[in-house]
Amino acid sequence: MAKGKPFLEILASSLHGDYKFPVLELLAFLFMLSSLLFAYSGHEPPGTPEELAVMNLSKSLLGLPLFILVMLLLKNVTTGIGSDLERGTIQTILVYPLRRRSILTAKLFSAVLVAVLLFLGIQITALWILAPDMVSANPTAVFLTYVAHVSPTLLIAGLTLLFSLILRKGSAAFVVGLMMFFIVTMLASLVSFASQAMDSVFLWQLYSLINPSEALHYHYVSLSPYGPHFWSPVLSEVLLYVGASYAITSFLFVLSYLYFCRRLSV
Amino acid sequence: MSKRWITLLSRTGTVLMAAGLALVLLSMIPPRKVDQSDFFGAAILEPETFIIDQTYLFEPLTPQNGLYMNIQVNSSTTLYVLNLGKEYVYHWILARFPEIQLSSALNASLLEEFLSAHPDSAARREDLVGETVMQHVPSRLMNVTVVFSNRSMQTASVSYRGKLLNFIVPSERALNPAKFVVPIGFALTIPWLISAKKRMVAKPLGNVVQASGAMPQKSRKAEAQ
Repeated sequence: MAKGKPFLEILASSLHGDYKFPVLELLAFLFMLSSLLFAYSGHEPPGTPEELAVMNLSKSLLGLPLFILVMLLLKNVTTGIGSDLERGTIQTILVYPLRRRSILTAKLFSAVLVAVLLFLGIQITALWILAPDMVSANPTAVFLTYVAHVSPTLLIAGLTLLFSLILRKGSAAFVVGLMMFFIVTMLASLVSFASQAMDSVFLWQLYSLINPSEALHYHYVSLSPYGPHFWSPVLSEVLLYVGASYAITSFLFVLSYLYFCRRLSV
Repeated sequence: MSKRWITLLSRTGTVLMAAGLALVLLSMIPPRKVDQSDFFGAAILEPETFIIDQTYLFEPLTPQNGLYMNIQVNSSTTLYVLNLGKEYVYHWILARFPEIQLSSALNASLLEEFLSAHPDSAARREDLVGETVMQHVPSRLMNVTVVFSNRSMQTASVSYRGKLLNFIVPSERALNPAKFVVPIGFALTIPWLISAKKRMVAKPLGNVVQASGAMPQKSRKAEAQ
């Protein structure tokens, strides 16, 4: 058997399980439809920097599709990996002449990477269809907006994966993941209120470690002559938060790999 | 071609078709009028003069907010949609010709001078004859100035009505990529359609073989296992 063949076998079976016809097609349809349906290029006051307008437009496209992506990732991670553990089908997969880390990579490639690539591909296409000149003139703003907004989603996926492996129950891990998503979303309002009450940006800085989109938002708003200047992080600071959030996410995935490869007994 | 490649190509094709169909659906949704955005105007243009529309357009247009105008002229006139704000155009003119009265028609050579100094400023240029309907939706945030220019030797009369339209996505912008994406998606599914048809043709034959008592090779193998 060729070296890559077992990997492809597991990948193909995971893809088949995660995206049965017509799941992928419906997702593509919904991503495109909801992206453009909720797009809002708004009335920006004169003097608004175009980066801020691009970020606001991208954020308007992200709303519902990002929620669909979170649900999709939770479903894929918990039913693809969690349920394999729950039902014991993981034993069949472990029979393949393949290292455990390669098995998990194949599973994650299908569960996370395909979904994220589909999401980003359709989002950026939709943005380009709507405002081609804005996108081509501000690629950095578009790139940073998406990188910053996808980060907490991946963080939740990483946490859910870890819980799936530890709990060995897909449904329980799904609920935990869902709760994490709501907590991360609600934290933004809580942090906003508390920061202003305490007149300190420390909570925002802390929150930006898991959701750097807030730091990016304040960075671009601070460029506008009309925006509030409660917190004005510079671009390098924003990049630091983005890097930190991806480092935390990577750490969670590494923990999952370590647990799956060394601690998980089946 | 292996079955796996056919599946991969066909799924890519169906995804492209699904995304394309969403675009087609969105392109069919008509625009709505922006509240209180109606404007109208009329002017007599002496030969070799131009006027700047003095009415509504003070807010920048967006990729979803476009300008719709119905214009009537009695003589050949040129319409320019400049992607610069009125204030900028006025400042530029006044900086060079402080004595000029901006409320009246200006010499057409001044417009030529402005356009040669700002070669990318004309987002749209249209020669108007009789009644014309014009729709302009920019692809970025844009201040807009509408200019009517009469380069002929006859006096021209211009009257216009306009409004701002709000789009989910301008239909042309949604349809143009869909025109490519849907056929490409369909082309990618053709190998799968062919193999599906072959399977459908082969299936009844297999049934006939089974009915006659002979077992298909695959079943015999499975039985041996």
